[in-house]
Parts: sequence; structure tokens; C-alpha cells
Amino acid sequence: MSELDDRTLQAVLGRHVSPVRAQSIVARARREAAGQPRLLLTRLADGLRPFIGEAGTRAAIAELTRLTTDKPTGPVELDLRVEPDIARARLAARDLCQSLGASALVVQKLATIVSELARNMVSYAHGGTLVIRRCEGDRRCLHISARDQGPGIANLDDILAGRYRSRSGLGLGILGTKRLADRFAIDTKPTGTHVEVEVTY
Amino acid sequence: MSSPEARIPVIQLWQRIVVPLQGDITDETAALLVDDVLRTIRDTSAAGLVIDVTGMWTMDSHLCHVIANLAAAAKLMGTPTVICGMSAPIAMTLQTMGADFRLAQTALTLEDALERLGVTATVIEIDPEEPSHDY
Repeated sequence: MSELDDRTLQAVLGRHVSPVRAQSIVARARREAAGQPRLLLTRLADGLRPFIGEAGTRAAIAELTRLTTDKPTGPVELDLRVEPDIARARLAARDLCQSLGASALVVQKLATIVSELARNMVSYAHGGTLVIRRCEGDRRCLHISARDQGPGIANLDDILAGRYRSRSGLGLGILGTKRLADRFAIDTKPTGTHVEVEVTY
Repeated sequence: MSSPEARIPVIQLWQRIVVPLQGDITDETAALLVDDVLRTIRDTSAAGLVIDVTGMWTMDSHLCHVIANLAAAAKLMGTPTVICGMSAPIAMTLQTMGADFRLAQTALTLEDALERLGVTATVIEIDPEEPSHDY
């Protein structure tokens, strides 16, 4: 278990309470824990609970626990078949982002991208596989790969040019993903579709 | 997942309807919600609908589409819709995607939303020293 610095602690707590409050909770917990990492988390929880309640506190502490474990950021691979899998996928994306200490905006972007890709696979391609992992090398970036054996997207050019919008909202899913991504590649043919997306954080 | 817990509350308030969306909403819950809200509008002749998304942690294009459709259907029934409480990251994300909310008005807070729909509030300061004589 590795020690977290004050900046990281304040950043995580700052997603639940105001920055000033986060700072004071961290300072107090440090003082009371006197260098014991396990006790520090308990004291942080005590400090958070009056402001955000039990559920919120548990979420914040889980986040910190992930940050202190040695392999918090392994690849996430999901097999997506049915509609509830879409929610599972975006929650997994959120957890991974948060364990990397990404900003609220990046969490939002990635969760939305994953949700869109997952929905396309579940609704139009009888399911598929989604993999979220960190990019190669030292870049602070996440790589998402969505692969299915569906019938392919026939009017891809129209969708990407913004000329097409279905009544079900499909067009916005692909185009929106492209707009949100820092890098976007799609390969679609009648035997399947593979989308690769990168988001820097 | 059609347990009663999965249902979203539809709150009636001064002839307006307030729907607080929370957490992660599945497609099934969203479909139930549309039914519930439209039925409540018809049964109560509501003068307005507020969809409060303060409690949402994320919104994808499908959910936007559901909300836009709900607002459009409510409009056909003669009831205006105001969406309120969108967080900055969600707003930025939807804006980047090019999501379209033209069918509904938007407001920052629930108070603003109700005000848009003609509700005006009078706040009376309560003196904690003075004993209440209502009981």
C-alpha cells in the first residue's frame, strides 16, 4: 500500500465537498492519524461523513483505496449483450477514470463515450466486446476498443458528416463519440465493426 | 428490473410536476418514467413539468433523446417542460456532442425552473426563539 500525498487526497475529496473543506478534512485527518496509512482513511471517512453521508463517504474512501493499491488501473474487458450491460460499462468506465484521478469532465466524457459505444453494440450488433485500458507508454490517456460482429454501419459517411440523424438517436451516438474523443478510428464492414477511441486525462 | 424501487418519483407541486432524476437510469426505468409522467399530466392537468437532473452522474444521447421526446409529448398535451440542475461536466459533454434540447427550456436550479413555470414563492423568516402556536 503506497502513501497518498495531500494533493491527491484533496483532489478526491474535492469531488465530494468544497476544496476548502477538503483541505481542512485532510489536514485534520493527517494530524489525528499520525503517519498510519490505515488510520488516515478512517479519519478521512469521519471527516467526510457529516457532510456527504454514509454512501458518499463510502464511495470516496473506495476511490482512495483504489488509488493506494498497486494495480488500480488494469484493463477492463466487458462482454456486452443486453441493455443493463450498458449501465455496467459506463460505471466501470467511471471507476477506472476515478481511480486514475481524472477530472470530472474527463470522467463524464469517457462514461458518455462508453455508453454510446455500448449502446450501439447492444442495440444494433447483437452485442460485442469493450476494452478500456491505459494507452501505451507514459501518456496520460485512456484507450477504448469496441468490437462487434454486427452487420456494420452502412451510412457511416453520412453519419460522420452530420447529414444523418435517425429517429432513435443512433447518429448522435457515433458522431458524438467522435466529437468527444481526442483520437477516433472506425472500421466497419458487413462482418463487424471496430471502433477505437483515445481520451487524454 | 421492474421492481418498484426502480421507479422514479413523480411529484405534484402547485399544479406542476417535478421529476427528480437520480443516479444511473436504465432504459427500462426511463421508459416507465415517460409513461408515469404523461399519465400524471393527463390526470392532473398539470400546468408545467420540471425535470431535475441534479442527481444524474451522467447523461448519454439516448437519455437526452428520451427526455427530449418526453418534453415534446408533454408539449403536445399543452404542458411546457423545463430541465434544470445540469452539472457543468454534463453540460460540456452534451454541448461537445451536439445534443439538442431545443424542445425544452432549461434553468439552473429547481427554484428557477418553477419560477419559469409561474410559481412565485414567499419566504417567511422563522424566528427560532418564538414558540410555534400552531399545535
